[in-house]
Order: sequence, then structure tokens, then C-alpha cells
Amino acid sequence: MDLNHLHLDVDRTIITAQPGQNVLEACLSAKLDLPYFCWHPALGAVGACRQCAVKLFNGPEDHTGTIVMACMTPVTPGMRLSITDPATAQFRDRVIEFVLTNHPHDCPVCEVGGECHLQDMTALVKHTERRYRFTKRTHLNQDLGPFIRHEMNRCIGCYRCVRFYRDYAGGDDFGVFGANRNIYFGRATPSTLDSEFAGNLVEVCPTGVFVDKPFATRFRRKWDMRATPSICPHCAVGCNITVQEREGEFRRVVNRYNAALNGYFLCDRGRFGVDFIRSPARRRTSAQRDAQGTETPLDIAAATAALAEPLQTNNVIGIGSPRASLEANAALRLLVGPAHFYAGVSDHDADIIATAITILRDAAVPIATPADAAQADAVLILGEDPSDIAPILALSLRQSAQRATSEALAIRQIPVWNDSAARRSAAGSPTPLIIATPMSTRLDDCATACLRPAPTALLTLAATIKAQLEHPSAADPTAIAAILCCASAPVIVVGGDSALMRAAANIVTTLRRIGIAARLSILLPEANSLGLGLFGAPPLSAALAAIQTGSAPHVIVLENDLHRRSETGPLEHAFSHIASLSVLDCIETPTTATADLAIAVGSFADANGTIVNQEGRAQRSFKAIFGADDPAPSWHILRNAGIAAGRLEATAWAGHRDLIEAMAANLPDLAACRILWPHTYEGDMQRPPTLPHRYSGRTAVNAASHVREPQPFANPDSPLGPTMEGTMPRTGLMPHVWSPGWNSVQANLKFPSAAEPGVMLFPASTRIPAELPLPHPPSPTPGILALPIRRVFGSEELSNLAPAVASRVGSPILRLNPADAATRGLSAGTMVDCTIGTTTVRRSIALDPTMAAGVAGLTIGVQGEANPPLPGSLTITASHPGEPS
Amino acid sequence: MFIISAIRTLWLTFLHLFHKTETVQYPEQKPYLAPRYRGRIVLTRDPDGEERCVSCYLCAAVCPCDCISLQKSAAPDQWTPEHFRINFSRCIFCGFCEEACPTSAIQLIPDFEMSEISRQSLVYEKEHLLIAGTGKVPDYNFYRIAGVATPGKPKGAALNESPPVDPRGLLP
Ligand code: SF4
Ligand code: SF4
Ligand code: SF4
Ligand code: SF4
Ligand code: FES
Repeated sequence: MDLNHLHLDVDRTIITAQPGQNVLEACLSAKLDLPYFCWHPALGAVGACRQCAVKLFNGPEDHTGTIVMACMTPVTPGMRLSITDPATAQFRDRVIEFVLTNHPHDCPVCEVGGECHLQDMTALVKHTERRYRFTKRTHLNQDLGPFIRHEMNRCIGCYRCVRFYRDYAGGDDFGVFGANRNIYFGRATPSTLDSEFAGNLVEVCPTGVFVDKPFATRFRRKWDMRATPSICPHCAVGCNITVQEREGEFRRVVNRYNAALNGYFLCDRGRFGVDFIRSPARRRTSAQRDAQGTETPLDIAAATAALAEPLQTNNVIGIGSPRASLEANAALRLLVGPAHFYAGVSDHDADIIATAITILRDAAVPIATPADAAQADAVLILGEDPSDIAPILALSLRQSAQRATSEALAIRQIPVWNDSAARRSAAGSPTPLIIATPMSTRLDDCATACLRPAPTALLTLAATIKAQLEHPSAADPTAIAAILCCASAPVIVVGGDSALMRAAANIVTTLRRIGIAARLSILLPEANSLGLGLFGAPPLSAALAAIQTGSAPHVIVLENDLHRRSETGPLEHAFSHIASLSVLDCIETPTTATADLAIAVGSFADANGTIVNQEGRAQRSFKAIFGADDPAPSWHILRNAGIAAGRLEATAWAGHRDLIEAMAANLPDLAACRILWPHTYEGDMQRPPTLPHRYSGRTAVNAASHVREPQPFANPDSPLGPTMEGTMPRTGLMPHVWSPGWNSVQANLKFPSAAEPGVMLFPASTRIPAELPLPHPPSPTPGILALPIRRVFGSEELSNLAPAVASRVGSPILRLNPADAATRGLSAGTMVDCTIGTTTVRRSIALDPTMAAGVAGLTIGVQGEANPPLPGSLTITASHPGEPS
Repeated sequence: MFIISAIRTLWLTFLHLFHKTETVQYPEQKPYLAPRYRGRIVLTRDPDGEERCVSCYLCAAVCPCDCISLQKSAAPDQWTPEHFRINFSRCIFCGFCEEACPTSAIQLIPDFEMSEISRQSLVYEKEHLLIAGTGKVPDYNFYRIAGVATPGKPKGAALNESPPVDPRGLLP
């Protein structure tokens, strides 16, 4: 007998279940239809809605049975159940009838109509007739900010929203009010929802109470939109998303389940940031600029020919980008040659990325996925706050901290899915979460201990922890080593400083050596930082040096705004020495504004592209938007320019696959990208269709311009079919998660294994990782040491251009310890000029009482501003209002 | 046998000389078409004279020829179509759209005289489809029943609705 499965008898059919599941989950995984509202695979069960009733028979002799809630009943071997039992069916029918007594007559004008869990469940229960003839209870809506619209009348009181927002995501500005049939889900006062996970309410709520606001302005039914699996381009976690499009226009982003990464949730930067592709700041036409600065628009053929000119010389420098795909970077590197290819990141970022590669590839330190982080039984955060850099990782860390460890639950015999009991038991035995960062973090509220060492003290702390693990007799004032020693799967999160990353990797190595399955999670700055790092190219400063020593080279910049990466002085100095500057970008930036040749290229949604996340996981996104005049992907333009320049190697990359082969041949680290998707799809009529099977209006959509229907797009480079024809796979490459009768996102429960894991470039090994040498401790910085603060909204270049995200960006701050502020005569809200190196930026003072002395936090990534070279020594001067900084 | 059959046929044909003629002198003489005849499609208005279509996309979804294309306007509360197009060169006048429409906006009327020289002229936009009246359904106004607030109809003012509750009150 297989010990990992058990068998249940449901209406005389034997289904298989996993131990530890509840009956509802077991039935849904076995593709049985059982209606429910309040249960959610990630939120667990509380038994609030009473919709999932089944009949449970107590042994073979029991013919009467008892009605139980499937979601609150653990599976046991040999259990006998009935879903079709008439009394139980009537029970479920009455429950949904009651739920609908107050439901508004809104379906035609409801944004979730057609993908509504309430509609699906009503149809499943076959409830058709309204008997209740009294008036309906109504509610006033609240303005919940730029992301979410509130339509409270549609609420069925299932409590999923508060359970997600407060219990799961740790928000405290949203709750449930009122009593009886008046209960109200909203804020105490109408205002923007604070949590950066609020967008998930759209998918968590089984009805249309929370509406994706930007999507509602260009609304389409789910059945009318092309859906394409994609990867979020806004941070290094690499969450899986689905991009939905209609008539060449981006419509919305929804979650794509990935068990290891984002599970069922996304952060709002990912969900609402992708709207940057419709922003007015998108560059859609190429142009040439003459010495006087006059722009001449170029069509794509002319732009390609113009780009071929510098490629014909032997004097060309290519600068890649961490926000461009591997393919685009590889094409540029292959054309300019490895010796002339530079990474286009600051020295500090390059140092961090190189260290991450050393830790992952050379030392083979086991890496923690967000799923591992959620399961951790002890967490140590060193250096940086993951909340703003890797929001979904922070959400996972919160899960481990807010729940008792699985061991503690097992001792108390509480199933993991029993949400309210599992949370309550965390109060007595919380999972340790220790935060050691120079500044306060947004996970402090669920931490068991918060330390605020300055960066140098942080290095000492990390070294001490390692020493204590090696010599348990050593004094352990912080008790961190003792806590890590007691855990079985601790996770250490580190970021911000390469020495600290090495020290953290050494702690993991030491723990592994004493038999503890510790894992490391490294925070990296951008979506493809690690991928770019694997090209092994020198940073931007080296490119600028090469420009100055070279003889007026031509420079090609790929999807990068160099003004965000370097101080303005050295950049302008170097650029005064060049022969020509060509910039390929999908957005308008200060760099494209100074380029001699600015070429419009496709965004991540216009091309197939591979990016590598901070775990070393290569994932591919596919062309998702099919507009008539969309710019071509960078690597197409580079290839064509290369061919025009007589570079024979470029002719070899006819298709995406050829380029991947060329890249893999040059860079063995990236060879695994070849197996990301099987290449058997060429000419395959059975490719998974990206159009849903009820895609309407096909014979009318183009009829305004021409009554004859055009040919469908070919999309030859993709494993996905561009039409409605094809076979829907049951695994990761599933554009539409749909099952008969299950039109809402809840259909993904019908495909429990349908997640695309990507390819780990550095697969986990069982050997003990190598210990890393630590660099000499840095000499202390004179004065105040400024550290970067990245924000969920406002620090990432692309998402800043989405109007909804832009409206959430707060004013940039300088965060100081009150004592440090007082000695300088500064108070909260004062505007000051902050000078680091040669860059001066204006910030308003914010006080952080817990902050380490001698350290300041400075918001970076501000739109239209050169990023100061952080970390660095800070000079604060009082600003004079009215004067530009 | 063969001869008899031929004679019978000739005789029957001869008798038709004295039958009432069935030919209709179209177009001078119009045939009777019942009000529920499925001909040209129109978009009607509600009794208040507002556009009835709420751009719910149901007609487009049900259309077996996929010949309806529309787009909801950006307005958040009162939904209306920004454009509404029917490609009559594809329409088979099945009436499914009329059946699916939850607001009685789209209706088929007894008019089949839509011949055109060019197929392109059979593409009708909203301004060609929209009529001034309520068509076959005189009374229905969707927004008087729906729970969404519209200009002039706040929450709780629709048919069969109680005034909005005060969530801070604890009384039942
Ligand atoms: S929530 Fe669902 S059932 Fe309710 S109005 Fe919207 S689509 Fe209809
Ligand atoms: S708002 Fe939605 S999620 Fe919240 S209780 Fe109501 S129906 Fe459930
Ligand atoms: S009558 Fe039939 S074919 Fe014509 S538009 Fe309506 S649903 Fe489509
Ligand atoms: S079904 Fe009716 S209300 Fe809905 S889009 Fe079509 S015409 Fe408009
Ligand atoms: S899903 Fe079981 S009671 Fe709500």
C-alpha cells in the first residue's frame, strides 16, 4: 500500500487523497465538483460559509450519515462520503439561496461576470429561482485608491478578504464592521489601501466587490482576452503572471500559479506596474538626432540601417541591461564581442551580483524559494528589508512568522489548513523571525526580535553567529545562533552588501555542516540582474573608462537608462568622447533623449525573452501583445543590423531558438536555457491556444477598416499558438486555466500540478557548500553613511511609468535617527539637500527612532533623478526652497 | 403507365391556370412580417431615452458568427459601449443576441431589405444601429433594477432596495 495516499469513498467512487488534506481539497483535486466560498488553498479553511456541506457516513452500517463541512473535515483512510445525497444537496441549495437574497442585479455590469465564483457556484448548485420578495440590503462604496474599486453590494460575507488582507498579508487598515446582515468589509475611513498586496483582493474575493480599477477602464470579459504566460519584469523574484490582451491592447495582469514562487498571489507593483506598456512614456518610433538636436523620425528599416553603421566599425562598445532579456543582452554581446560588452550597472550592483553568482554557482549554497521561506521554522534577515525589494518573498516570510511551526501544529494535532486554530497557536509558540537591519523594516510587526546594527556592526554580528555555531560554548548574547541551531529548515535572507552576503552564506554553510538544512535567499536589485551577471561583463564604470581611453568609440546602449546608474559628471564626460550614441529602448528616458539614434523596441510583452531571477531560476515569457504596429524586439533589430553590417554570425540567429543556441555555446552557465521549452512545437497545430475558446467578435473586430478577416498572426517563435486552435496542456504552459463549470480563477484547483517551475541554472546539490573568504572590513565612513531605500512603488523604473503606480509614489525621504537629526538641527519634514559624491538630491527628513546611529536611509530610484552612488558618505545641507536641487 | 403520368401532369398544369395567383409584386407590394420576425438588428433606448446597451458583451459571446464587436467605455459606473459594430455580411439573423441581451437593448426587427453592392457597406456601427425608441420592450430600464449607482440613482434607490446600512450601527 502506498503510504503517501489514502482512499476515500465518495458516492461509491474511490478517490485518492493526500494525508493532511481536508475533504474539500481532496474532492476538488479528484475533479469532483463541490461548491465552496470561504476556503482558499492558501488561506486555509475556517468553515464560515457553510456551502461545502457533504454527508459523512460513520462506517459501512451507517445509512443515515451526518452533514459535515468538507473544508473542516480532515481526510481519514477509508472514509465514506456522499456529495449527491439529496438532503445535503438541499442544504447547499438553501445556503446559496440565502446568500443571494441581497445580491444585486449586477451581473451584466459586473467586472467579474463570466469569471465569477458566485456565478459558477450558483450554476453548480442549480439554484434558479428567487423566492425572497423583500427589499435588498445595500451598502455605500468606499474610494480605496488607484488600484481597487469597491462595490460592496456584491459581498456575500465569506470573510476571505479580511483573512487575506489582515491575517495573511499583515495589513491593518482594512477590516470588517457592523453586525448581523449588515456586515461591511472596508476601511474605517475611505482612503487608499496601504498594503502592497491589496490587488490580490480582486482574485481572492469570490464575487465582484473588488475591481481592478485600471482594467475597468478598458474592460473586456475574460473569455474575450488573449492570455499569455509571462514573468513579472518588476523585481528579481520572477513571479509568474498571465498577461491578457485584446485587439493589440494590454488589458490586465493576473496571477499565474507557481508553487515555488508566488503561489496564488502577486504584489501590486507586478499586477498594476505592467501598465507601463501603455504609458505615454513608451517610445514607439525610432528617431535620429542631428548635432542641433533636431529629431528625424525613422522607420524600422532606416533605423536598422542606421544601427548597422557603428557595427561596421571595429570601434564599438555595447552596454547591456538588467531589465533586458538574456536574448537581447546575448545578441548585443555577440555583435560587439565579449571584450567590448559591459553590464550597464553601478559598481555596487555589479559587486552584489558577482557575489551572488559566487555564492550560487561556485560555493553551491542552497537557495530558498519563497515557498521554502513560508515553510521555514526560523528566519534571519540580514541587511535589507525584503518588503520593498522582493515583496512576494516578504509575504512568504510573513507566513512563516505568523504561524506556529509545523512541528508545533503536529504536536497539538492541528491540521495546517485549519487556519484560525493554526494562527491562534502561533501566539504561544511563534516561529522565530529575527531582523538585523540598519533601518526599521515593514516585517518588524511580526518579528520575534529586531536588531538595528550599523553596517559594520552587522558584519561583526554575522561573523559572531558563525563563530557561535562552530563553538557552541561561546557567549551568545543575541541567542541567534541558538535559535538557528534548534531549527530544522532555517532561512537566511540577505541583501545590500557583498561582504554581508558572503558572511550569510558562511552561516548557511556552517549550519549545513552541523546537519541543519539551512537555506539562503539573496536579494537582488532587478528582474534580470543575475542573468546579466552571468555574462561576466564589467560594470558601467569600466565602460566609461574604456570610452575615455579608446579613440572615440561608437556606443550602443541596450534598454538602459545610464543616468540611473552613474553620476552625471563622469557619464557626460565620457559621452563627450564618443563618436555616436545609439540607444535601443522601449521607454523614453534621459538616455534616449541624448542619443544620436534612438530605436524603439518591444517591451517584455512584445517578445519572447528569458530572465534569471535571484535564485538562479531561468524563466521565459512569451510575446503577449499582438498589435499591428508594435516595435520589434531588441534582438531582432540587433540581428538585422548585424546582417546589414555584414556580420555573418547574425544570419545564424534566424529564430529565437538559434539565438539561445548561440548564447549557450558561448556561455555554459546559460546552457540550461535551451531546455526551457521543448522545441518540438514548430509547425505544430497542437500548440496551446492563447485565445480562449469563446473569443468573440472575430468577424467584426477589424470590419471597420476592412470587412475581410485578416490572416491570424503566425507567432513562429513561440510554443504557444496564436489562435483558438490547439490543445490545452495540463501543465505549466497553460494560457487559460479553465475547467467546465469553473470560469473563475478558482479553476486552478482543478490542475494542482499545473505550475511552470522554470529551470534552475545552479541545481541544488547535497554536498556541503564551500566556505567563502571574507573581504577585509571596510574602513569606517566619515560622517553619516547613506544607505539606499528602495520602495515598492517608486523605485523601479518601469512600474513607475504605470499611471496607477505613479499615483502611489510618496515623496522621497531621508531617514535619520532622531539623535542624529537633532545634532544637526533637523526635524521631521524638513527639506534638505543630500550630497553623496558629486550628486545632490533633495529629500524631506523622516525620523526612525530605532535606526542605527550614524546611518541614513535615502530613497533611490526617483523618477527623472540620477541615483546617488550609494552606499556612501552623506553631507546634509539645508535646502533653500525654490532653488532647484 | 408512362403516357398516363404525362397526361396527368399536363392536366394538373392546365388546372393551375384557374388558381389564385401566389406571386407577390415585391417591392411594390410588401409582404406581412410578424413583429417578432428576425431581420435587421437595432439597438434600442430605455424609456428615459438613454442608450440601453450596457456593453456586457453577452450578445458578442453568444453570436455563432462572431459578428458583433464592441468595447465598453472607460466610465466606471454607468456602462455604455464606446463602439458597437455588427458585420451584417456575416450575421445569420439567428436572434441569439436578442435572447442573450439582459437589457433588451439589441432587438431584431421585421426588415430584411439590407442589400448592398459592397460587402463593406454591411458593417454597421453604433450610429447606424441605434434607434430613438424602446422597440418591442416598452418599459424595461436595467439601471432602475441594478445595484450599481448611476448618475441620479444613488445606492439604495433601485427597485426593491433598502437604504444603505450604517456599518457602525449594531442594531439588526
Ligand atoms: S458578483 Fe458575480 S453574481 Fe454578483 S453581480 Fe457580479 S458577476 Fe453577478
Ligand atoms: S468582500 Fe468578497 S471576499 Fe470579502 S466577505 Fe465579501 S464576498 Fe467575501
Ligand atoms: S442574429 Fe445571430 S448571427 Fe446575427 S448578430 Fe445576432 S447572434 Fe449574431
Ligand atoms: S447583450 Fe445587450 S446590453 Fe449586452 S452588450 Fe449586447 S446589446 Fe449591449
Ligand atoms: S468552504 Fe467550507 S464552509 Fe466555506
